[in-house]
Amino acid sequence: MAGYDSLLARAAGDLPQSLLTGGQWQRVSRGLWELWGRRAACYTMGESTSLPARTADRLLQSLIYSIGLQVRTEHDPRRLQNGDLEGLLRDSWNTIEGQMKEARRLLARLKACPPPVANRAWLDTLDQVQGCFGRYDYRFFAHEVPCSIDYPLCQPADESLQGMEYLLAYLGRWELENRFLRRFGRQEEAALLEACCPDCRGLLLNLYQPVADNVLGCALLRLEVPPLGLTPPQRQQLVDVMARSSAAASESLLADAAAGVCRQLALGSDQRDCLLACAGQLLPRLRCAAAHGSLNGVFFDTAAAPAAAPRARYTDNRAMEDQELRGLLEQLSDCSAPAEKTALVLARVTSLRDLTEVLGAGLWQGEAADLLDALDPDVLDLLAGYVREQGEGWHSPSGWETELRRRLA
Amino acid sequence: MEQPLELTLAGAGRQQALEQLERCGPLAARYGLSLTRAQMELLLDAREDALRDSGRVEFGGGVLPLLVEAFCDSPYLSQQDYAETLARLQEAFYYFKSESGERLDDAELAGMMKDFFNGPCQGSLEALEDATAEELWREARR
Repeated sequence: MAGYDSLLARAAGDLPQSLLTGGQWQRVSRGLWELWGRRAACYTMGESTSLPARTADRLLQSLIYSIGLQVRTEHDPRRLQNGDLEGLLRDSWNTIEGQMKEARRLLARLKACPPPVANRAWLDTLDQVQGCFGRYDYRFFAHEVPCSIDYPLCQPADESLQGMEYLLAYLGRWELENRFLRRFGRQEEAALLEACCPDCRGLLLNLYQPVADNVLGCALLRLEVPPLGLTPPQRQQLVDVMARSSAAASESLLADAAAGVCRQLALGSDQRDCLLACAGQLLPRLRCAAAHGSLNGVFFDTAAAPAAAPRARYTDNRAMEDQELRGLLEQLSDCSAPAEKTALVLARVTSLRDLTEVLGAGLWQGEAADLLDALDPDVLDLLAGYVREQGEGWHSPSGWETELRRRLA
Repeated sequence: MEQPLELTLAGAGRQQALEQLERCGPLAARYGLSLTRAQMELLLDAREDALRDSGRVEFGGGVLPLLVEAFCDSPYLSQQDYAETLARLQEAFYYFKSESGERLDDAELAGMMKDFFNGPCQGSLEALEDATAEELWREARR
């Protein structure tokens, strides 16, 4: 129960403890106990007098979080001082609904602008966040957002935040990073990311940081961006610059470079802060690598991306199980934009059989055209071979083979 | 010295449970069953132990009144072992409640326990305590 008091104290957020007298804390604590009992009765719908201690604890955590959220939102402790806990709880639900609306807006913006490469963690996290709104039970468990967030941000959201506050902070930073990425060409960014990490689609990789790092590297050499890549001679030039500079001078150079990028790209204050934080993270890696005479692992050349093996991807991998494929087709039907569908297919499909299934059953004809545009020539040849094997009179439900023949003609 | 808040709050809950148990007195008396004040206090102590052992939290008066109502007309209850039987039924109730994954409401579970106790167990508390929630459920479906 000592934990109960400290949990309650935390609920008031950054309000000074002195705003609540000892007597007020006693009254609030008693009121919270009674409210906890009423919420437990609501949760069990009056059909159970007892519940698992873990569930009861979660209900209490939710109450404390919700009341604290509303007190912080109102910037006024009077209702808490007067013991209006039920009122604060009910108003917190309206506050949370407002947060959910904003979170949905940010999610829609992210979904409308797919990343330069179909990164699996990115796509999975989008799906998870999309699905969590229906599962989020803010009336009983407001502090818990039921989704698995895999995609790593360059500047993580504050993990002391809970509930929809955390999700909003996460989506806000994610959308900010994506806005920066949209300033550059997708193909060049894709080439840079593949140079940075050959499995940039499969790994838990933040897509913003390699691009931002290269942009800062270009700015250090006073090069305008785009282009994004740094050639080996340019990287050597940066090694020389670092070698001649003290730690303080390097820091100053990088800060100036960041400021220059902000001016050139007319970045807003939020993007500026993110880029400056990225520069702060880059500096020690830059100095350490430069001290060893090479920046090959810090900056990348977009022309030096390793050749992908598109044909092998579709011929050497196993097909999905039927249930997995059905799940993918359902996900495709939930996507709102063709670009989103294309990104999803490129991330998930790794066999020719599944690719032809998706082209035939998962996409409309216009969308099939978008996907075919995104595939390498080798893969288009594979598909042409598949069409030939089906025989002269064969037609797919979506007619994608017509689009394919048009491209290969 | 003012007692810690948590004891005040726990005390308020216990008083409510005591009052609810007292209100069951007339019903149980029809079947020749009664509890002394001391026995009620012991039952509430047993309730706290049973909740702690089963990892549960209870608000309000608790489940004892429901168990009294369900079992008071059992042919296997006697005044001699009434208090002890209630304590063991209470413990078994919280156990079954957890084991059933919260899928049974209180009234439903109390009814199933009563039918199983009066039926296959023939009044044996040991047999009831050894049963699983699934066995109770299967017996109720027969």
